[in-house]
Amino acid sequence: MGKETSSVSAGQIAIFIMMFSIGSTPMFQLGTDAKQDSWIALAAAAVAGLGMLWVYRTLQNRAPEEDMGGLLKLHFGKVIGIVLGVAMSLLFAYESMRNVRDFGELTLSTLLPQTPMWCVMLIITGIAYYTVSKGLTTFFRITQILLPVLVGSYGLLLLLLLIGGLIDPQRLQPVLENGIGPVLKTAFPDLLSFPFNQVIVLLVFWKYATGSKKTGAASYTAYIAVALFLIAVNAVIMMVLGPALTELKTLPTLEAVVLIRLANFIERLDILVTMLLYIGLYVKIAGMYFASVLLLRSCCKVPLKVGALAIAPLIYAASFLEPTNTYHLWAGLEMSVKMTPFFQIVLPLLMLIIGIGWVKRKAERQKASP
Amino acid sequence: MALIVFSISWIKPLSSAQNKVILDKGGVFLSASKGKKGGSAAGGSGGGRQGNSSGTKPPPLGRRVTATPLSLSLAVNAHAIRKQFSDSADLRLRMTASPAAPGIRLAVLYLQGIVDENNIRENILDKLQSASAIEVAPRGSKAGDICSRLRSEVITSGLTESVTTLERALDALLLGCCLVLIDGSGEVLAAEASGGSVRAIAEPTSQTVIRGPQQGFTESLSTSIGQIRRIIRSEQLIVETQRIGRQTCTEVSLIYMKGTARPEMVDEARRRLSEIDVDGIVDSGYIEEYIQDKTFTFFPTLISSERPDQAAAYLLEGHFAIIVDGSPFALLAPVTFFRFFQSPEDYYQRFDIASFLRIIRMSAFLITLHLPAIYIAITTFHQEMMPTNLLISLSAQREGVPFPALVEALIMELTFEVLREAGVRMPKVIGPAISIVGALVIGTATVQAGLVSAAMVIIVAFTAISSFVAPQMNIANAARLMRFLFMISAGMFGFFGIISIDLILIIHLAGLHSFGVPYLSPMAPWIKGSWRDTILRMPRWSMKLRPAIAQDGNRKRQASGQPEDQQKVDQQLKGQKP
Amino acid sequence: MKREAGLRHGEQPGILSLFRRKAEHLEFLSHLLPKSRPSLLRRLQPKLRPSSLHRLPALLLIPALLLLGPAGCWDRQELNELGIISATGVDLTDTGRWEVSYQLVIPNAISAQGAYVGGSSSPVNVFTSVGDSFRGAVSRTTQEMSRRVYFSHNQVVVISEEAARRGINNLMEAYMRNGDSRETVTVLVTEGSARTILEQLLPMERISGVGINRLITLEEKYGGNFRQISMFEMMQDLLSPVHITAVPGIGLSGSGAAVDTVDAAKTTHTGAKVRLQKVAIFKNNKLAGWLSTHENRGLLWVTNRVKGSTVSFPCQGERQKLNSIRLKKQKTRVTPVRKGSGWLMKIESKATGVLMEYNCPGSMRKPQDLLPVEASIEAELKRDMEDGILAAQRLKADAAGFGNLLHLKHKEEWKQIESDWNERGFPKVEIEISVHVKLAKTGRSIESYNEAFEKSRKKE
Repeated sequence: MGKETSSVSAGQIAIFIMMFSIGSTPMFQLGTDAKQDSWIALAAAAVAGLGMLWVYRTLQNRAPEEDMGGLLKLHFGKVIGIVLGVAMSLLFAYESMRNVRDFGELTLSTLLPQTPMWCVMLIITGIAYYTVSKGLTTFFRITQILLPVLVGSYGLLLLLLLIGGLIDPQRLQPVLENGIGPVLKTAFPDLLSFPFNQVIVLLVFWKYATGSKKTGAASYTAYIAVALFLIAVNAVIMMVLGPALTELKTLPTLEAVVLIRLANFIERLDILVTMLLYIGLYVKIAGMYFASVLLLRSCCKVPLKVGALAIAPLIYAASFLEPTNTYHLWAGLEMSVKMTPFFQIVLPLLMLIIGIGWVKRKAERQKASP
Repeated sequence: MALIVFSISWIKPLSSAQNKVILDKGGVFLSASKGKKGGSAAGGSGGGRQGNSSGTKPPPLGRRVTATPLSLSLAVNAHAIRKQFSDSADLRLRMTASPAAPGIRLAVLYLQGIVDENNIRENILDKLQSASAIEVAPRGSKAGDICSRLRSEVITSGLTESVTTLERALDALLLGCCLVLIDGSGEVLAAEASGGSVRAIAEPTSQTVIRGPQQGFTESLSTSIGQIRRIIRSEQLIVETQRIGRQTCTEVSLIYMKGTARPEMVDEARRRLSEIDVDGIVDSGYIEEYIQDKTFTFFPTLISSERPDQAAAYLLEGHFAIIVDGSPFALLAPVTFFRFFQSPEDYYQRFDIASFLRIIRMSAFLITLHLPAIYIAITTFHQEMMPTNLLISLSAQREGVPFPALVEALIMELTFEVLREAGVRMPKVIGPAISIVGALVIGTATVQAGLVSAAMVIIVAFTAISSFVAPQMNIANAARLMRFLFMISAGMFGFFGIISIDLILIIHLAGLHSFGVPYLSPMAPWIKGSWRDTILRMPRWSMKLRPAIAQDGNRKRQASGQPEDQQKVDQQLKGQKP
Repeated sequence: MKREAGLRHGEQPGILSLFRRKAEHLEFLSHLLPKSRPSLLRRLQPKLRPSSLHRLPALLLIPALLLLGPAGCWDRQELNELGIISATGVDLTDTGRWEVSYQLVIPNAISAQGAYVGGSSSPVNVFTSVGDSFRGAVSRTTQEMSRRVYFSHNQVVVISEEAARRGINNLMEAYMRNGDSRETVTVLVTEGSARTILEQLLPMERISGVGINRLITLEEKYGGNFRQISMFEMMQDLLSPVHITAVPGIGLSGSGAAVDTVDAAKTTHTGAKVRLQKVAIFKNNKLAGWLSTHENRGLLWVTNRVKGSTVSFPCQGERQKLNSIRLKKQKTRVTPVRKGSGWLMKIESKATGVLMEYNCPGSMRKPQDLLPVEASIEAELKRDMEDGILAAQRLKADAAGFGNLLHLKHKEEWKQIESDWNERGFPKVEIEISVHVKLAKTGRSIESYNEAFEKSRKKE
């Protein structure tokens, strides 16, 4: 893992997008405000997210050798660029912290009720730090290895739900019972920020994939694939549980899996679900953490190891800030979704608009004269 | 004149120009291996660091720090050499004389165990004693001339050099040469005569196959290299030898196919070998530990193979091999994780059974890692995962057992490790009796005494059996050690612990390299077209490309696949039929 | 890494010398590598820092975690610390508090293979605890039991009629919120005391909780009279627009002593047996009334929930049901049609089956011969369905699920009538049933044995 250009292939970026976006999203049923139309809300958000992806990609194409920090500096000048860069880095660290907390809460409620949470969170933070210390190429390889596991497990679960006869399309009906209004209200901005706009972290990683021409196409393809997958899972869970129960439960997917009982011995598969959760959250945590550290490096020239060592305790300590689970969920709904759209939507759009034309030339000039 | 010769022989060693290497007069030191030099260019690109164009490298640095010139008197030289050896009984001295040098006393000196006495008799003694008289040389240069003329006209050994320092003479003796001392000359002839009895070529002891060649490497480097040469008859096969080990001067050969193996990789291997400075190399295992990429890991990054056919196959694919004199295990590198589950037999059997067996091996590896841990996790943390009937049976079994499941598992696993280690060293006569003891006493009686539950014995037994499935010993050892980690973490955190250690393992493996090759390729980073020979083995005609280890531009293994050719052959046959 | 290359004899390696040496090598190597492969150089080069420091976080973390081991593996519970509960019973005390009974499994009394025949002690033990709330009652078990109650293998929940009439919403809540009680448990209702049911031993079954579960599974699959309903499905039904669910009933039938001791189980015949009988209809979380088995069968047909059943039917024009057919596949479709101010439900059923018993005269060699037989079966089924719906209408509970259909297909109109559908709308619903049965196979004989006998007698 070298300094500037490690060679990451387009395929690895695509796989990373898939793993990262899947993350822990299927665990929570998103968009339940729209009741049985949640999958439509998700679809709407996915389309908008595709648009944002195009925005990010355009920004990246202006200076393919730079990452987010560099782009900020180009657009806004050095000082504001560094300020914004550090802010974004802290945002990513915050997201990582949220996921660590999620991880702790979920593990405690499903797998290990008596274990203290600090222990669980320490373990996952430790593993994330270990990953970051190994470097970027290693991280992408890890996601490559984990993808078949994830896809296979989800496929198996969906298959079992199908075979068990638990899927009942009638529960999705009546479609659009209350009109399109609630659907759109749930979709924007909540659903857009999470999970679809989290691909903004790609702006930090794309620069390492400049070796391959197909990065853009691979990114779009992966995004569409994962969007379809998430919509499908959302719809399936709704079909299994029905709108009323889905709203009530904390982990609807876990519920659905609990119901699988086949041939009298394929049952109690919730361990599979927890494993999926673990892997998904791990990729998210490590990805966000990495993005944060890399952004610090490109903004303020903090070396990788120092950055990693600095942010790890930050994440770990911050994850104790919320005293209870309810607080954590509420903070996610209220605070994050109010804060993140600024960085995820407003800032890139701003950069897109004000930077037409001259940024690209400036970047090329910079590249020519190092 | 003698003074000049004397002084030159002093100065030369001290003016070691470049890299602390003491070059001898002729520039090429004795090569004890029977001339298995490389092909055309000097050992691939970039091998000429020390300026040696071919042959072995000199003995390791720091071996000799002084350089005493030999005296002119035979008696003094002989006595000096004998004194260095403290009059070892196997140092043989035979006085002789030759008509080629009338009136001059000659002596033949060798270490008995490491020379081929027939060789000495035929090439040296015979020739000396039956040589015709040579012209008497002009005065003054008599002795020196005699030496060179003996060397060029009389003695018919393989490599013959003349040495001028005592240390060089000692080195020559130790490397299996026969010294010819000439009275009145400050030079001594060192004639190559190594031999002695070595083990015959036999079946490999550790890696047996049912179908395939049944030869294994032996301890003699030259024989081993010869076995490979018999399989790969190509001048592209390069052999570079160097001597490592201050006291052992062990010959270590680096073998690769020029044009197929990546030059950077070979350079790195060469560099790492040359950096080793140690007292002695006894087995290839020493070399492995010195040159491996990462020491603090359970997982090996080199394969040790006893089979020439396996070594040759790897060489053809672009790997390199390191063979150490005195060890029948060759080192093959660079290797990836998936190679450890491939046995040479996969390529001799058909593809369907080969693929099936590979999958079984990988599954067995996973089982041996996880099974005890899963048992512990399920019975102590996740009892809801078991079917009810099984739960009740296990409950009934565990009623009287005093230990927690983790402790029980550790006890049984450690007991089994003790049994296994004992089995390795047991004399063959007592073997069956002890195995009965192991099985009956430990297995059955502990269950009946209520110390462990029956299910635990089954688990341990199955785990142990699975660990023997891996074709390479070193990966099985890695599994043996990691198993305990898994068990402990399962005992503390259940499935969460197992998955955590799994993840840590994957991270560790993903970051591991073997001579620059990522350990988990070709899965991660995904290399196109390599799926044909990783977990499954597709039919031979479809494996058209060499693995990505080989040089770019040289990956095409064979002509287009079998079916097309088969069609052409069919057509031809049809055309010729009446 | 202890490569002491390049040292003079006797010199000790220092950390700095490691640096120096490697730096030299780097320089050298970089000359060798082609310019196009800088990444390979980076892969090959060893890490340029003192080897001890980069392992610091791991060195700190690992002992910390290892110390946790003895400190407490918090979630660990050994198998011999668990009290496995295989069945739960919910009763009401006289004072209106919850009385929860547990059927505890005793593993030692159960041999590895076979039933408990050889054992001398009972395989299960039933005990009870009382509390104001459901989980409150459960928490009292710690005062009575030496093991921790473990609900994950709970097979069956039996609710007594009293408790059901009071309302099971609290029970639902407790099940939903907790992780260790599975929502896939089968639910049954009993007229008497739930505890009595738990105390019964079943022949051929080691654990009666498992046995009762198997009983209802089997009945659903082959008998077609009852539906196996789990806690989760109950919840879904009660949360559906009609808020009605039907739960099978269980009770003791037969005279004689109950089989609640091991000795009683050792005889060849049993006195009072556990038996599925009647169906409890729940309306708005409370027990509203009972339906008979026969009526429930009709309702199962209407709601398309029959998995396989055996139907007995008479010959044409007769009353006695001498014949049987085993129906394997069935499908029912209900279409609501507006009729005046009320609704007409068009029920269309299709079924396929194999004849099992036929005692009527007449041959069945030609396809036309089958038609009267099929008509007979259809009439029987139609009668069942009508009986079922009428019974539900009497009870003023839409156990047929018509309201759900209206919600799906006519949502605006449903919104207006949903508030009192069970009391007003549903009892006025008219039905139009058409059944179509296909006799796929007649079994191994074509005509009835009676027919063949008559024929042979006529010849004499």
